[in-house]
Amino acid sequence: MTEEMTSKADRISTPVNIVVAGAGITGIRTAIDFAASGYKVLLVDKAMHGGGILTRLDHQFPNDHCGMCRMLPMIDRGTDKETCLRRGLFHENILTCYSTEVVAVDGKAGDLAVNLSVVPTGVDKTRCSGCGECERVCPVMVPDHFNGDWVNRKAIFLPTPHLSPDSRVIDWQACTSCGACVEVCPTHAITLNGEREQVELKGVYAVVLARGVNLYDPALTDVYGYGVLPNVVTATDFERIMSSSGPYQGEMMRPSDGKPIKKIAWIQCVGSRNVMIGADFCSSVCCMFAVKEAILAKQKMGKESDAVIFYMDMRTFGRDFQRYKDEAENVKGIRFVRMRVHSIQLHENTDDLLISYVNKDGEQVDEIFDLVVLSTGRKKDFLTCDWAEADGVFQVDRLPGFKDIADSVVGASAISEQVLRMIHQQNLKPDKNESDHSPDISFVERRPSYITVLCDCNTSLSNPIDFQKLENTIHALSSGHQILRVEQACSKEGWQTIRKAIMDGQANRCLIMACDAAVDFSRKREFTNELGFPVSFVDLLDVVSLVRRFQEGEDATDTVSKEVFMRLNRLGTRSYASPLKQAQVKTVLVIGGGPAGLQAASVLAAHGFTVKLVEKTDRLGGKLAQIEESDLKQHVEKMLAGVNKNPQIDVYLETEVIQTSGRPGVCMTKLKHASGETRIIHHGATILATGGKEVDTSASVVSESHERIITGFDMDAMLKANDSDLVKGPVSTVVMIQCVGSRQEPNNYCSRICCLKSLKNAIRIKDLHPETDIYIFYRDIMTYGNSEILYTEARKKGVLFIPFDTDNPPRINMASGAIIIEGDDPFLGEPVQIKADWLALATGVMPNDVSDLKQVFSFETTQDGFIQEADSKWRPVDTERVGVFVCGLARTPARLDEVLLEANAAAQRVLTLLEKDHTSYSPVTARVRNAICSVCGICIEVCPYQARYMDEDRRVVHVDNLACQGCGTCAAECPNNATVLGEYEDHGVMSMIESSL
Amino acid sequence: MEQFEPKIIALVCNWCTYTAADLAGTSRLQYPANIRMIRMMCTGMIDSKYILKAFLSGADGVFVGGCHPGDCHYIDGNLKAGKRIPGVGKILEQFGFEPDRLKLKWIGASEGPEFQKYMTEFVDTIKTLGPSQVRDRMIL
Repeated sequence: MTEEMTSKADRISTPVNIVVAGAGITGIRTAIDFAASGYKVLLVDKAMHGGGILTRLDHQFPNDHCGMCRMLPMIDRGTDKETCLRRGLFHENILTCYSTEVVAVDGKAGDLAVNLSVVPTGVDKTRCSGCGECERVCPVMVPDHFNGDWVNRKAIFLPTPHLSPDSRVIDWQACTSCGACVEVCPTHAITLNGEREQVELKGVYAVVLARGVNLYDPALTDVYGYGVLPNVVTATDFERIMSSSGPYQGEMMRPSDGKPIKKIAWIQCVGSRNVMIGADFCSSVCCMFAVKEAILAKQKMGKESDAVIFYMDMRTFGRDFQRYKDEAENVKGIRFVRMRVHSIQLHENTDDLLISYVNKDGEQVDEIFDLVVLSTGRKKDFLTCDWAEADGVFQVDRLPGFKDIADSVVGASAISEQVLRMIHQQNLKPDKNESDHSPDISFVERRPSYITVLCDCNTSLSNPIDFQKLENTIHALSSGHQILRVEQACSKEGWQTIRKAIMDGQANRCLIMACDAAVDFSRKREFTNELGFPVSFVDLLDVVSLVRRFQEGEDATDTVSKEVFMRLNRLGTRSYASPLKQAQVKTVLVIGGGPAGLQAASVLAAHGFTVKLVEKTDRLGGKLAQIEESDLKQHVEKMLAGVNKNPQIDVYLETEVIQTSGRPGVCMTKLKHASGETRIIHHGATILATGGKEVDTSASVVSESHERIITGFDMDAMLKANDSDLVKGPVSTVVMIQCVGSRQEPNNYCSRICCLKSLKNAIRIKDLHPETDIYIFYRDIMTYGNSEILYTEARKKGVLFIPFDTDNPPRINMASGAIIIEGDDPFLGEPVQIKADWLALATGVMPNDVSDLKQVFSFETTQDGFIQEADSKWRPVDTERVGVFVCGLARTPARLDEVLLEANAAAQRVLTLLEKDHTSYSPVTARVRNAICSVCGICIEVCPYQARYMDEDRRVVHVDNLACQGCGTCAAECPNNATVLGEYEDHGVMSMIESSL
Repeated sequence: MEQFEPKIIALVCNWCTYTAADLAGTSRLQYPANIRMIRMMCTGMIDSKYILKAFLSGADGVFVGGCHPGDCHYIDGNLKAGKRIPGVGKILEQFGFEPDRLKLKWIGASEGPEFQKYMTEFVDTIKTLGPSQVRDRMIL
């Protein structure tokens, strides 16, 4: 079930449990979540390819890495092809279908009729060999939008550079139906019929709507000359300039004249934060995007280069973002200029671009750039569709906005959890999985008997192969090898011939050499399901991609023979062990009884799990009293009442976790009550929701306390109390100072909530006392997403904002008994002195101390004490220890709504692990040969997944089969060869190396 | 005299470098036929003895390609390879063989052109060095 449906309607007849509309990061994440639980997923996208915006970027902030593949399943790895996600998503439970839209959804959740409108690709993937002849002969050239329109592409083309199998698609708008491609196609895979087909699916449980956002097009309304000045580009287009798979193969040259790029400017907030065009929102990711691009570009441009970011506020509101930005500025030499650029002009008669601005000192500066990048975000309007509100439709876009990867992944898993909750409550089951067929043991136990299938249609090979010579090579290996030459392995007849030959010849090792169309990932499954072959006894060799690197016409026989020889040798070393199935304990330990813990506990109980909720203090609810949003407060109160009544949730107050052992799925943990009493609980997974607290760093700016110098939290509380002085008034002047103790060492992170709190407080005061003067000293106002409206509102109401730098913070002078705040107003260019009735210091949040738990669960913490997730982008709620998850303030500063989403996402990760009664593990898993193990422990040290542990009593090393991801580092490091990795045993690899030479 | 055509083994990681190699193929970036590519799940699993085995079996050069630091699917397998592989180069050197016959490079999934470049460069290096003496001189 992996390739796209080209013979659309027939293929779609496979049962589909869940349809995911939108194949960007969120769509992919939800699809993998469902697939991992065994549900059949149809993943569709209107675009010609999956992956969304991510297909255009090679690196992500805040570490400049790529790690998309880390989203792939870690449990039951064998269900997936285990390959770079840029090449495509290959999971046996996921069918991907692009150029496809959901047009109607009818019925009730759990039993929906879904209508799809499918645009054919024009190329039948089951026949296409990926030779690319069609693209070569196509006479139509159109601008390649994927690559910023700087180069041309054909009307039949590869929609993304990495796509695998690399069969082309037809752009029907560009296609002239000349028929050149049809004539040249050696496998007759092309049909020039672009008419939409309608497909109706019945009995679908749910539809997930994950459309993502439309990107803002600066050509429409902006003043920066995009579309007119050729060297003004958008941030996503700039990614293509930097990419090795882009139009210039990664050479930093500019579009207009190919001049090497040495100096670039980024202009922030293009199309965002602009009330003139009705865009009263922040696109949230563009600041970090620009910092990342600047860092990478500067690296590529080398010495004597310059990268400048013109910004209004640097919104570094993620946990690790401020340090990333600081490093960019202080170490990597990126310049940050606070300035809304007025316009961009051409410099004299060149293609260079001139930006004039006034600097800090009030002087006009003219700077000339080779390239200007516009940091464009999302469009104002969200995508809509008629069926968005239909029953059974779950919208990922409920919290609209442009999100970074981590927030998208969290939001996606939170939705998966909700969908599965509906499915569980209706008691719906996944369709029986074909992969449940286990291999036929008689196949496995018989003496190896080989068959090599050579597809000699040969028509799509650009290089000649001497098949007779190839056969001789195989016979040289051993005369008993059977060889079957078929004309078209991809065709139905071809497959029947192969099948018959295998059965007749009693072969139990098989190598098929053919093109992409025949050696697709799903073929391996067919072998298991129809012939009883273990997957590891079949090898598929894609000969087209093997010879593609040669010059046209060059003889490829030698290379192909070597490859065949090598693979047959390898097959000979394969063995098969039926995978052990491991039972799971369907109980979850949740540590922390604040909002995150309560949410995770309630959700998991709703899925039928037993929850052990452990809380250190004597009551649940955490910082309930401080929750300002009334709807969220009600939600938490409701959960609190529910948890106490729920028989599936056992609450342990005044209790701490002191010891744990076991592996994902089966753990034993010791709890200790304040009275000293201990108890042991059995559980399958753990969620860390230990929360955080307000950090009082006001002492860092005020030497002595004053009753009218308070924190933002205090001010919020006072404004809620009707009899407080602040509410009663009169209040003449209020001053707030932001980032007190935040965003600078040692707490160098944004707390996310303080700007919102200050703005809300300011607006409330202005509502109560319109005559009050309010001054907010700030560094960057972090109203990301739609909370930008608060900033706009505060300014409309007359709140004055005064920016400051860390090297010149406002000073508080209490010498006269009054509170005087002294600072410098960069706009006036003069010092200011403000006498305040009230001074609110916006102090941030910090995580609760988890050093004891860190010992118990051996997770990592950041330098600020937050629990370190396994991957800040792709696995945000996993810890490095499989089966231990984290959510809420324990991991990162967050708003309460975000905390709750994280709790849902963590619950979803638990579902993936524990939903099935048994899990089986991939054959590519390490094991220890105890007889020759010297118990040195090196393997335990190097294992990146903590999948190994020492049994101290028996002095043996164990491998946790679920946690092991098959990286093989242990085997490579083991000094005794006592550790072996399944399918990569030494003798197999060695024989491959030997036979390849 | 017939031109020396070296035998080269490239051990590449399944995630990044193999994708780059595939991309090079799809983009029709030609590179020498001398390279025999063996796909491993991660450079972290490349045992030193595999490299020695390759040389002892007659390889004139061994190329190891993995993900850029930080991009490893298995978190840091590439960094472990980064510590281990140069050690094998030192062993070669101690026995009097050219350490340049072993090359470790980080090649990201989108770096098809880089893959082609490194392969071509490496083949050229080995051609300059001439046939490897490892198999002949190590009597095993």
